[in-house]
Parts: sequence; C-alpha cells; structure tokens
Amino acid sequence: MFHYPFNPAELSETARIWWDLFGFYLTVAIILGVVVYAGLVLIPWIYSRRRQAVDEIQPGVIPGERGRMAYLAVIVILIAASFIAIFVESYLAVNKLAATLEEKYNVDIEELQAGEADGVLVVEVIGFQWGWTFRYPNGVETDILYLPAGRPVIFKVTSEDVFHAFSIPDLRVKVDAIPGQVNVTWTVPEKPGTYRVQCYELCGVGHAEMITKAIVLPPEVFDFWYESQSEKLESEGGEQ
Amino acid sequence: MSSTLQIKRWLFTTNHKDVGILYLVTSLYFFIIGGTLALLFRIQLSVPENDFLDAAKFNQAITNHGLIMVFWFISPLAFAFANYFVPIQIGAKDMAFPRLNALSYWLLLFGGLLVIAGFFMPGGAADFGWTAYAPLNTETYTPNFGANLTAFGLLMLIASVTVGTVNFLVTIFQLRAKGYKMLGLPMFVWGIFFTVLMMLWAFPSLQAGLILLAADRILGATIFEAPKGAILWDHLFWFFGHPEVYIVLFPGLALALDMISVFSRRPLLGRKVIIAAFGAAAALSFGVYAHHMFMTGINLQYLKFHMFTTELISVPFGVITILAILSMIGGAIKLTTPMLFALGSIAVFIIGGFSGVFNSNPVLDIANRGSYWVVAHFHYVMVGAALFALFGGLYYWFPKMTGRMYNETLGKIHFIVSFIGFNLLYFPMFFLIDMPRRIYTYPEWTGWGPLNFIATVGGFIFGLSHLIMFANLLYSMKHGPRVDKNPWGAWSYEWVIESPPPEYNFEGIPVVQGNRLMVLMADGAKPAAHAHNSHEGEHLSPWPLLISLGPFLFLLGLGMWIAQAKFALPLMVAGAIISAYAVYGWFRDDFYERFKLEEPPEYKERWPFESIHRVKLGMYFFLFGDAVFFAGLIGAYIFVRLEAPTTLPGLVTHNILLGLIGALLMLWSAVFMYAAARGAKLGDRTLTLAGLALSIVLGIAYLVVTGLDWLGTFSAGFTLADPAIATSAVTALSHALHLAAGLLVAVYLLLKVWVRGFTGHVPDTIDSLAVYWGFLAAVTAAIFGVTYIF
Repeated sequence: MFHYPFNPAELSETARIWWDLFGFYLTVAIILGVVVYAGLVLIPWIYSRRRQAVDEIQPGVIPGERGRMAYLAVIVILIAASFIAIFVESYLAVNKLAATLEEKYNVDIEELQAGEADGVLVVEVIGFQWGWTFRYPNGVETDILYLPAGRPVIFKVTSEDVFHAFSIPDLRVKVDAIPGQVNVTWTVPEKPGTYRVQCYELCGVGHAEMITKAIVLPPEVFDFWYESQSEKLESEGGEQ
Repeated sequence: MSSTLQIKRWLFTTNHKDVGILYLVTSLYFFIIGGTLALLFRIQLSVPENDFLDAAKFNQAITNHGLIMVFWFISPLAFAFANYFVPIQIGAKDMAFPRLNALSYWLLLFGGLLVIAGFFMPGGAADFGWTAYAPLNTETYTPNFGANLTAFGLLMLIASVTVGTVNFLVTIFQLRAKGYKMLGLPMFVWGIFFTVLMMLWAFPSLQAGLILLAADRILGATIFEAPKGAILWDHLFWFFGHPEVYIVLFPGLALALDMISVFSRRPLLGRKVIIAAFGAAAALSFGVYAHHMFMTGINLQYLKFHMFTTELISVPFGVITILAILSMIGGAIKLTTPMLFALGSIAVFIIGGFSGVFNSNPVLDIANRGSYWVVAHFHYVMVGAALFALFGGLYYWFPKMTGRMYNETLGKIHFIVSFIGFNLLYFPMFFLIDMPRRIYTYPEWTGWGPLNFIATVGGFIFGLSHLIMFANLLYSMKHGPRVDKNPWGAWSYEWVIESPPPEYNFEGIPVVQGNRLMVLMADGAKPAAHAHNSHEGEHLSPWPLLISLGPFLFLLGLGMWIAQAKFALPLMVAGAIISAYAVYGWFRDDFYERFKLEEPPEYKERWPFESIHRVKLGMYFFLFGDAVFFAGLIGAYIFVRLEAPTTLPGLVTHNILLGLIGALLMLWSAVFMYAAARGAKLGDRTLTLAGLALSIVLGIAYLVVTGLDWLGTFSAGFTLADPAIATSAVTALSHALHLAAGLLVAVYLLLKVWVRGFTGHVPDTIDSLAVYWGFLAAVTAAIFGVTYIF
C-alpha cells in the first residue's frame, strides 16, 4: 500500500476521491481505535492487580442488572454519533464520484449513451477466460489498454463467459464484468506510465494470468497512436 | 460398559451431551482438514511465481478451505457447546427433540464427508470459490463432479441446520426451568438464540440457490447461465451469505461476554442493552447484503440503502464491544486462559469491525472488493473473533466436561503464540489491498512477496500453535488434577451440577426462584421414563444415523454415476434401501411409542408459548424458515421474468384451467386436514379418519393434475432451457416433494389412528400437520398466482 514513491492520489481523479475518503476513514478509525484499545488493555491490566473485595458473581445466582439508563444512553449516543459522521461523509463521497464527471469535465452520461461526446474516450472492455479485449470507438481492438493522460475515460465493461472483475488498481478503477450486461465506470488518468490491469473475481484456473497493462500516454502521443491505429485498420479493411 | 456397548452408544445416542461431544470431535477433525488446506496454499503464496500447487489444485484448496472452515468447523464447534450446554444452562434434561438432535449431527457429518469425497472424484473437488459465483459454478464452466458432491453436501448441511434450529428454538422457549425468565439466561444462550433465528431465515435462501443450481447442473436448465443469472445467484447467495457471517460470529462473541463477566467478577454492564444490540444486529443483518454487490452495477439507490444499513450495523456491535470493555471496570480480574482468549477475541474483533466499516462504502470498495484487504477483514471477524472465543470456551468448559483441569501455563502459551501468529498472518493482508484474492501466483514485480512471506510464517505459527492445545487437553483429559463442580466460581446452571454432568444433568427438578438457580430433590423428581433411559437403554436410536447414511450413499453414488465410475449403481441402490428402511424404522418406533423422553410441562417455564404443543411450535418455526425457501424460488421466477423480457408468461406456457383445478384440490385437501385436526381435538375418530383419507386423496389428485399440466407444458415444446420454465418447474417440484413427505406422514397417522386410536402425541401431530397443509395450500396459491398468471 505504501510502496508508491509519490502521492498515489495524484495518479487519477478517482484515486484522489478514494484516497481522500480512505484518509478520513483511517483518521476516524485510529482515533476511536486508540480510545477503545486503551480501555481494552489498561482496564484488565489495572484491575487484574486487584485481588480483594469485589465479587459480584455468586454460584447459582443470576447476576443483577448494572448500569444507569443515562450512562448507557450516553454510550449509545456517542457510538451513534460516530456512525452518523461516517455515514454523512461516505454518502457525500458516493455522490461526488458521480458528480465529478459531470461538473468538472462537463460529461453527461446520458448524452454519452446516445452518441460520442467531445473530449471523452469510451473504451469497451470485454473480459474472457482468460484475458481482456479493449475496443476503441474506431473499432481497433487491443489486449493492452492505451489511455490518454488528463482526459476522461469511460469504460463499458462486460464479459463473454463468466463473472470477472475489471480493475486498474493504481488508478482506482474497478467494476464487475458480468456476461449479458454492461457496467459503466470512469476515471481520468493523470500521470503517464504503465499500470497493472487485473481480474479481481475468481474465474477459473487462469484467474491469476488474467493480467495485462494499462499504458497512460501524454495526450498528443495517445492521439498519434490512435490515428495510426485507425489508418492501419482502414488500410487492412481496404485490402480485404 | 463393554466396547460394543460403547460403539453402540456413540453411534445411536440421542443424549444432548453425547451429541455435543460428537459435534466437538467432528468440528476439530474438519478444522485439521481445513487448516491443512490453508497451510498448503499459504506455502504456494509465500514467494512470487511459486509452483508448489498448480492453479487447479490451488483453487480446490481455497474453495474447500472456505467451505469446510465456515460450515463444518466454526459453526459446528459453536453448536458442540450449544448442544452440550444450552440445555443445562436453561435447566433442561435434554433437547426438545433428542432424536432430531442426533439427526442434525449425522446429516452434518455425512454432508461434510460428501464435500471431501469430491477430492477423490475425477476432476477433483469444487474449485469455484466458496461463494460459487455464477456462471462459473455451472456445468459448462466447471464440469467436475466434485462440484456436484459439494452442492449435495451443502444441501445435507442445510437439512441439518434446519432440523437443529427448530430444535434449539423449541428447547429455549419451552424447556427452561420453572421460573427462569428469558432475560436471566446466560449471554451464550442468547447468542445461540439469535444465531438459530438467523440460520432459520438465511439458509433457505442458499437452499433455493443450490436447488436451482442442481437443476442447471443435472437437469440441463440454464438459470444461471442466462443473462442476469449471475446477479440472481448474487442475490440468493448473499441474502444468506451476510447473515452467515454473524451466524459464525454470534455464539463466540456472546460466549466471550460470559467469560469476561465471570473472570472480572462483575455482572455485564447494561445486559438488556447488549441483548437488544444482538437482536438489532440480527435483524439488520438481512438488510445489508448488497454491500457484497457494490461493483455489479445494480441500482444505485439500492446500494446507498445497503451502505446506510451496513454502517448502521456497526452501532450495535460498537455498543456490545464498548459495554464489554467497560463491564470490567471495578472487578477483580483473573487473567486465566479463557479470559485471555475472550479479551483476544474482542481485540481482533475491533480491527475486524473497523475494517468492515471501510467496506461499507461503494467508493472505498473500488480498491477493497476482491482484494486481500477483504480477506484480512473477514478472517479478523470469523477466525479471530469467533475462533478465539470458542477456543476460550473449550478451556472454560473443559473442567466441566471432563472433571479435570488443563495445564494453565500451556494454555497461556497457546494463547500468546496463536495471537501473535494470527496477527502476523492476517495483518499484513491489509497492506496487500492491491492484491486480488484467489490468485494462485503473482509476478515478482508486484512487490507482494515479502508481505506474503510474513503471512505464511504467521500462518504456520498460528496453525501449529493449536497442537499445544490438543496436547494439553488430551493429556489433561486423563491425567489432569481433579476439580470440583465450580472451579471458576461461575454462576450459571452448568456449574451447579457435578463435573462431568450426570446423564440427565439434574438429579431432581431444576427450578429458579427469584434470582437463584436451584435443583429440588422432591419425590418423583425423576420423570419415570428416565429410569430405563440410560446410555444402554431406550434413548439409543439407530434411525438418525441410518436416515443420514442412506442419502449420503445415494448422493455419493449419484455423483459417481454422473462421473461414470464403477460401483455407482450398487451404492445408489444401497442408499435408497437404507433410507427407506430408516424412515420405516423411525415411523415404526413412533407407532409403538417406543421412544419417549419428555419432561412434565408443569415443571417448565414456557413463556411465551405456554399452551402450544412442542411439535406444533416446532412446525411453526420450520415453516417460518420454509417460507423463505419458497420466497427465494418464487422470487427467482419473478426476477427471471422481469430481467429477461423474452421469457413467456405462465398464461402461455400452462393450462390455466388445470392449474386452477389443482389449486382448488390443494385448498380442499387442507380444509379436510383441518377437519381431521378438529376431530382429533374432539376425540371424534370417524371425523379424523375421514378427514385424513379425503385429504390424502385430494393431495394425490393435486399431484396428478399438476403433473398432467406440466406434461402438457413440456409436450408443447417448452424446455428447461428457458429459465422461466426452469425456475417455476423447480418451485413446483419442491412443493410436490413437500406434499409427498406430508402425504407419507398423513398415511402413517391414518394407520395409527385406525389401529391404535388417539394415543401419545397423535392429536398434536395431526394438528401440526394441518398447519403444514395450510402452509402448502398457501404456497400453492402463490405458485398459481405468480407462475401461472404472471
């Protein structure tokens, strides 16, 4: 998790949303965890040194009730309050994941379904036993995922056979690839480089080998690659 | 006792303590198998690009590790204690249905053996993960026969669980000592109570899924291969799967609370609040399951709701944990081995719970789903919290079960070594958040090698540490110092009686007065039937064993027959004969009322079911679970119809008139069954006989009419390849089998009333059967309303 030589949140827009939220959860967990573990360790440590007096457990006698309602209510309310804090933050994050695409990049998913929007790359991802096919709008199919940096990418993910899960973990992209349906997810890669693409749902004996590369290119290099692929495809089509 | 008598005792026993010990030994046996599989694949994963196991073997190892540990180790270990101690803790002499109790054990054992038998089949055991995601779990993608045996084994397990849950609920509700209020029961009983309630509701969903899967795998249906089949499996599996986590956790967590209270010499803080929190978590557990499906692209609002409930469920667990810790303030804490295990259980449960809140969010799930983070999370909950507490329970109750004390120093060493090993094993997995689950190898450049190596080392420390416990307990069983009845100064009923407990627990009548647990030595305290119900006597019954062995042989044969192996047919024939003979034997015993074991109701606290007979109460609980089974099947049909618009409605595929006639026949059959029950209540033999006979005739007529209707459907060219036809056919078939079993009992009752009149429980049994018939009529109406009209 901490093997990045730089801030992993800068790898993509979705990674930033993820790490922000993870940081919040981790902070809350550490604060609450310190309090709870302090109690769990200190209380037995202190009271195991006391041997005298208190013995409210007698053989054959049902122990009495303990704890005043007010005291118990405070505990319950404190726990419920931490829950509400976490819930509000996570609810906002879920909405943010959907809203960022629309607000920051002016991409309307519904419009996108109808036709091709400007400045957005739509890649169809098809999982199979055992590998991935990436299909670009110009019809080019590859087994390595090429992406432009700084441009929104929409993934339309499906499967030819069994249940797979498409993921580019460093960019915080993941969605299930399910036969008979298309799941949509998105990201905006920000740093050129090579990233791991892998299947995250057991899909048979080749599951571990269902691994490939995502290469994020600077936008102008990506455009060059994309154009050359289009030309190649056209000339092949012409020959036939 | 001679050795033949010993063998007979352990094979034929129905005594709850003997059954508990059988559960204990069996669960530890499966623990060793599941643990060995885990060590094998940890070796494979210890370094990158290892070739110790190939992918096929690795997948079989992880799948069966999961299945065996969840279904045949942790839960059965909890139920070993539940069998042994719940009846004692509530002040009963045995379970409400001792023979059914033995039956649930044998079904569990043979179900587990079926799963393991998969390893010896061509193609090996199941290898699609314990979650068995569709459509990988279908014949097309997993043609190996071990997978069929796994499905059969799970179905036997579900039968075992269903019988067991009904038994525990009736026992807890109707066999408490006179004056024992529900709220005064030990937390362990409460833990088991909520566990069985969840089991009753959760397992039928898996049962529905497995039956549909069996139709796919054996009858050539394509329910899970059709579009959206994967999502259907997800719904059915996780509706069961998430409560299952709490089913595994609750007994251990509740037991940890009892131990914390005893060893800190303080009553629990806010007992009622804790019980309410358990109840709230059990209820909520059915509304959180979609957090396993955050990435499947289903409705976002549905996911947000499940995110909310998942985070909400952390409140009751938070309350339980905090109150457990605060309970210890002011006590004189004794850090014995069981106490250390209880505290260790809470300690790892906190990490497990916190990491669970991380998983409640669809955004964080982008990284967590399918990764080693999740593996770490659920092992912290299911292994850490549950296993530590239950092993603590093993030490806690060891002096009670054997009358001897274990070695305390070795116990503490076991705790320290296993606790360190456990954390070395699972904590590094939180840092492997990028590594996918269930990959048999990984390239070196991923950088996952060192953390995996630490985990493997931790795994071996954790696994081998339990040898200390086995050695300690096995040695102490024979040579440990003798202890008196209450070495811990604990309060509940098991510590009032001798160690080990006498055969019928109490040499008198257990009675609770105020807050005191007492055993009255009144005259006639021993119910007369007990005099000859010793281990050599009448409480031995061979039928629970044989009634489980028969299906085991039959299903094993069936698996081998599909695999075209030798000796398959003789095995199936033998299995069928044994099953039939065992059912006959069970009925014959009942016919002559050979088997009686009942405590007089006037000695018992039965709130809130004071006037309901235990058979009828058991029937109500059973139907409570069975309703979920049919809801799962009918729900699957509705799902298929909604998601696949090309499927045809029942109006086209069925003969509506025949369907209507069938539904009316079934309805009238139920009416006559109620008449029979009425006759039994009034003592009117003629009315009962007429009612039973008419009900049987109409029931058979219903089966014939429905069969004709289905023949018509199939001859019109509709096949099981259509998922709507397949789901409704499976529903109809399940209903028909329910009815066939009911008809068998009805015929038996007819004969018994004819020959012997209203003796024994006959009136109450007919009454219960009428409830069952009413339920079947309601299901018929639902089937007609949904699968014919819609």
